[in-house]
Amino acid sequence: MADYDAIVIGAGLGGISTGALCAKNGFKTVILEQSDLIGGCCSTYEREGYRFDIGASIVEITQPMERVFELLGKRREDYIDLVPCDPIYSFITEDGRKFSYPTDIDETTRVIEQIAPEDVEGWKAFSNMGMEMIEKMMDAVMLSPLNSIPEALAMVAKNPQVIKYAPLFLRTHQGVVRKYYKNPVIQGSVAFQSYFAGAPPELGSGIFGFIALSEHMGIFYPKGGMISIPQGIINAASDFGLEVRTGTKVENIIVEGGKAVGVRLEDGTEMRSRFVVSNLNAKVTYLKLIRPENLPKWALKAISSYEVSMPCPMIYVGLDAKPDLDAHHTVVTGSIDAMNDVWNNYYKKGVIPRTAMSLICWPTEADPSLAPEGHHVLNFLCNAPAPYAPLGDNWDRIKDWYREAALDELEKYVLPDVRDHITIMDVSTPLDFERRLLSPQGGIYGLFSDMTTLALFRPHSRSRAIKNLYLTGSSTHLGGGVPTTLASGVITSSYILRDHG
Amino acid sequence: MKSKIRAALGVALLAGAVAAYFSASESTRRYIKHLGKQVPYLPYRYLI
Repeated sequence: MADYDAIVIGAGLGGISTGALCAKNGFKTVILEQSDLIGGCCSTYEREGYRFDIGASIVEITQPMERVFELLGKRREDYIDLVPCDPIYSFITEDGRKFSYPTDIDETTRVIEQIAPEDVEGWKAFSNMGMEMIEKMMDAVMLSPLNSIPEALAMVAKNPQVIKYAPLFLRTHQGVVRKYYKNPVIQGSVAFQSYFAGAPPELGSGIFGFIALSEHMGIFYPKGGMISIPQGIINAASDFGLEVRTGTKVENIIVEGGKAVGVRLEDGTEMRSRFVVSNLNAKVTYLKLIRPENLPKWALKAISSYEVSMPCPMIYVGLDAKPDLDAHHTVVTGSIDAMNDVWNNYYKKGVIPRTAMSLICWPTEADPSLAPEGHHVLNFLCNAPAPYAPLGDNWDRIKDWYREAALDELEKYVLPDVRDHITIMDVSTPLDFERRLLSPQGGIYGLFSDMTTLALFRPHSRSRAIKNLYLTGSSTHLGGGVPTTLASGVITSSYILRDHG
Repeated sequence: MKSKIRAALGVALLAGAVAAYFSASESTRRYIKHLGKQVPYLPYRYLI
């Protein structure tokens, strides 16, 4: 006799959205989270009156979130208060030039005209084509199951306009950027987003080139911190009996006769269920929770072939003064070549990069309640990506050195007097991410993402190796990020409903 | 005769591909190498 219909391992956005939709459809569902916080990378912790976001810093492309609430039969506005952030980014180039991109496309055209008049036509062509593509492809690609060739063909048959955009999927991110823009500063301002998907511009898919454009549909910050998104979904699903247990670590998934039939917890307790959903990294799910001896050889070869996503240390700072910033996000950026250099000559060689490439997030601009009155919060990543084992060293040993080096960068490029105003400061290294999120090597986007590891070629939402096992989150479908992980929950729950509804 | 033409075409194609590879930018070569490493796994990845 099963204790539950659905056991969901991990309370990241994928696990929570899948669990909530299972509960809504009448499945007795429990989500088991090993840490004391829900949300995975999309979470917020509190210390001395400041609230710091662990990883994710905004939500763009809100359609998957709206779809989750629509499927729950609830109004998103009743659970999550989204504050629009405009401008989208403020940029600081290595030579000290500053400019901002507003949400409005026409206003952005004027900004580009001032910096690089030669790129105005390229920007107009890119934004006209790209906005049309984003609107048409949203449901077709992001919210459609794409686990098999028949499903992909069905998606194309339903949305034939997708064919027109297929060449973009086959190009690289830098190929798309260089096709439309000539000026290196403009190129840099739309190329670094490749790292938002976990790949340098020379390896990232051309479709990543549209991340920057999609942000012109609006970027939003949830009041109360990023944790308000997973908490809002849990609250919305509470009417359906969704149970969430934090501090509950799963030791392994119980497999009997090639079927997932439950989980064994760290304390030895066994919990049985009709099916199991894992929101953990797919490599952890298959290699640690299922274990190689329970996998067919082809599955072992497949899962071993994936590289984990890049790690990215984060620094969280409380300030007793308002920072001299212009936007929710400030980006210190360089050329496309510099971005590729960070990947090839630093990250891949185990060296912490020393070139300027930082993202500074200022959440108290959107929500002052995150800090004591008159105080502010900055969450920033500096010189990312950083290697998991820098030159064979250990992040626990170099944490203090890294914090000071990152502050030096922040002082040099963004806030010259920041050290005078710091009241509190924390660092989350790749090792911390690995411990907190059970993410191998602290990878923040699950698995490395390019065209050979997305959609059809990413671990499927419905496992073919183990019956009654489902995967959700950044290791599946379209990879990491708030919209994509929420979309993975919609897709995984649709398979579950089909199989067990 | 036909087999000789086929072999010559094959050699020409291979030579063209090698020439294109070496005349490509370093960045493009890294991309091709990256794809070369990933493609053999696609059938397995499709299944899982």
